[in-house]
Amino acid sequence: MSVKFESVSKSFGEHKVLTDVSFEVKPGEIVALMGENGAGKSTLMRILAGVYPHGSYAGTVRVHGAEARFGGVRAAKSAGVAMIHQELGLFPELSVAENLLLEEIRGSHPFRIRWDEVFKTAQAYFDELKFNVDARALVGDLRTGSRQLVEIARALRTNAQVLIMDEPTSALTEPEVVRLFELLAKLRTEGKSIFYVSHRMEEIAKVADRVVVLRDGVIAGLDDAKSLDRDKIIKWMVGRDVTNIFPKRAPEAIASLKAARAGAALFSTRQLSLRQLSTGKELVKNFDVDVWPGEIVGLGGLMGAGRSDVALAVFAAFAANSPRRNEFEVTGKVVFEGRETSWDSPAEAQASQVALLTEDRKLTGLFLNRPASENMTITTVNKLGGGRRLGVINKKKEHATIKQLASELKIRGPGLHVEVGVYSGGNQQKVALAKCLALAPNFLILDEPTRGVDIGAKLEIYDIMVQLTKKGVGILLISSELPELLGLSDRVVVLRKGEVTATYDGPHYDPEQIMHSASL
Amino acid sequence: MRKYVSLLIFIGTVIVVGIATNGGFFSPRNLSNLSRQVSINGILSVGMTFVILTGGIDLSVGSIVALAGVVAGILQVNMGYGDRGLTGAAITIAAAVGVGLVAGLFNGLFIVRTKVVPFIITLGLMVIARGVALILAKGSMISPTGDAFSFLGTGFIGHTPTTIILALIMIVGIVWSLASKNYLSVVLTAVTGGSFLYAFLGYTGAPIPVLIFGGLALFAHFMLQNTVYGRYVIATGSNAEAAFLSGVPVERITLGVYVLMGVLAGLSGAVLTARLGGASPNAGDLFELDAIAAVVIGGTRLTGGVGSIGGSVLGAFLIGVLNNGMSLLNIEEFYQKVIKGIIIIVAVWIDVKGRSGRK
Repeated sequence: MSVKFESVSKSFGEHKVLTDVSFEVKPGEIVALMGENGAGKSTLMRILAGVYPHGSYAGTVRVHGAEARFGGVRAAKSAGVAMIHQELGLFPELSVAENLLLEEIRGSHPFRIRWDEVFKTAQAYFDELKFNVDARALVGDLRTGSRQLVEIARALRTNAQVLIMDEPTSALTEPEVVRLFELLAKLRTEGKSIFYVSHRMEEIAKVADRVVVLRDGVIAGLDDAKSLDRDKIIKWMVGRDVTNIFPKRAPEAIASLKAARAGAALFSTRQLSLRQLSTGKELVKNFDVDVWPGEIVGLGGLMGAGRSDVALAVFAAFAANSPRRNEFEVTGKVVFEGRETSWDSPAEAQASQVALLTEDRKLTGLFLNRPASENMTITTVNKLGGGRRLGVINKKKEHATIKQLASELKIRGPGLHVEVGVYSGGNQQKVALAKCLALAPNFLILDEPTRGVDIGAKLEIYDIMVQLTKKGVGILLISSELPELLGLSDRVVVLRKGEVTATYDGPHYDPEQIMHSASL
Repeated sequence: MRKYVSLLIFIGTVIVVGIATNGGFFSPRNLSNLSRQVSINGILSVGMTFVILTGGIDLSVGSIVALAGVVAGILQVNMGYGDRGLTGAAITIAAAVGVGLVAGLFNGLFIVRTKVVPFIITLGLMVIARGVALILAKGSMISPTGDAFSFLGTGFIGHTPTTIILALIMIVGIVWSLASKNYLSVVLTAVTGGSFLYAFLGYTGAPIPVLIFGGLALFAHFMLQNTVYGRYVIATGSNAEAAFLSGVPVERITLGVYVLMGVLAGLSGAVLTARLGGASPNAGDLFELDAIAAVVIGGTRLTGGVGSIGGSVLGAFLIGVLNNGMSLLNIEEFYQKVIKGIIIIVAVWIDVKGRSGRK
């Protein structure tokens, strides 16, 4: 089925998010939709999927030639349009099979469900798709990647003719991605139209036929995906030339790093291991790393390889004073500035001027219903109060810190006294980073510093990282984006199932070799 | 704007009650009594604000009030501390506060160690403490308490000290508000202070329970706004995981708010017993619900991380005005309950509506 947008526009109040968007997707075509956060991709896809009903936007959407006047998601579904959400729409308390076959179970028999058959049907379907998922498992117990596979399977099960996929690979392992691409190729031959929203250029070159780039709600460019020109796409997305998105280190910086490496390391771990006590599973095994002053060490690996666990273990998140001390056991040594640490909590790690930017800013980083300003100084408020629990916060000093951080990090939002939950993704991430930088850290662990951040903010965050290294700060960088990891790191350590499989020295890396070390 | 919804409802209620009672509501004597009645729920609301700010709840406060009261009563009546003047009174108050402290530790330690939700732990203590109070009092009223102790609940300070204290608070409040250019706060401080002056000077001076409540509220407000402790309480309630990873000692903060709540409940028990001149093991019934209602009417979110002491004080006074006004109007108690419940729901509903409309 074909899909055609004819000068589609949409506003939220005064704010125009889409202006005169027109393009067509033919049957059997995969179109990649690209653009920065807030460029209007999701809005456009939500219009197609019926989330924003007919009448709430201007222009015409045609599905299979006829004008689509969807009153809601149900209408879109019955017309054959299925959307796979990035924010997962599954029921965590139900089994995989129930999630997959929800509609079919409902229609089968009014009083009796034949559970054997339900599980058998579901398992057979996953086997047919070659997705490695247990139909009897509870969705809530699955890792994010497997949940994503269940979402995809559910959409395919409805036999939709138009599929919308929003960042479908963000949590998948390499083999799963390969399998998904095989499936997409098959769906293409069946004449389905597929919208593929993604930031990952390599994937798009592999899977898509055409690329549509949105910027500020307008189509900035259309191109053939097979001859994808990376620089041109970035230019369309950002609206300016970006020759090299990773800042080059000055020759002096490289020289001084070489000199530093002759001396003592700033930060080291020896035989660091982390065991989950309930399952006995070793999440990290005998992890060794050294970080010298001014160095960025990349920690590579797939999702679930234990990268974030390393960060949390180092930061004393499972130590004696942690609410989770009875769930995990940490062994091995962490050496900082020449001395073995005995931090009993993140508070003590911070007191030694070590900071952690957590993986998920919304879950573990920010206080969403509090002002941005308070978020930025929560790590240092103890010092601002003279180190005493009932100490009075020096508000003048606090205000000065906030102002300085906001201008240093170019934080742009509706005002620093406004709750940070209403900030855009990029600016939220900057506030989370400001919280770390307020400590004036000597060693900084950055876990996915640019996830869900638009390219403009990304470049600014990279810049800040390089500025920090100039001051002699050591950085341990965790990133799932390979180009970012390789573009910024002086050295890359690859983890697989909690163990180091390889270490590579920069600045030139072979991405395929690194992927190989990560997946083996 | 949403901050002022409760304030507008309060002013509206005062006007309606004032008109319905032909101004009888505004007599200094009535206002003075009203403020004394509000004090106990007010003290509890101050503690409850901290608990709810961390995202918790404490259902045991009413029972702690009763247990602390019974212990105070036993000391005063059965153990002869009622005849030992100020020393006896001081020991009695300390014992009641100590009972609250132990109860708060019980709640806090179980919540932190077992990770069972506060609702269940404090529900358990609500039943346990009530049971212990009934056992200790053998199911009956203990009275009368000694004069020195009763002063805590029924006493007044004279006109001169009342004037000096209120004037000082007003001057500090107004100067502070002017310095931070908060003109609304200037007006509020002046009007509130003026009302209290009118009520207390027109009658017998400031009642002791009101002074305790006022002092605690001011101190708690300052603590929440200006100290590291306050920031940590708010951070814990806003996002406990993020707070821990930002260096906040989440477990100690959580333990601390339940201990604080317990101490204030113990103090309330002493004040209540002193006011009534005796202790009943059935006292304090449903006090926890009045305190929670006051906090929620004041705009503190049950999910934690957002709220204020000022709001809770306003909430406590709104409930007090309703109780007082309906009594003056001779509305039957059964109907009073229905009306009070409706007003609580409406006040919070308007607040929630205002919040979602803003986004």
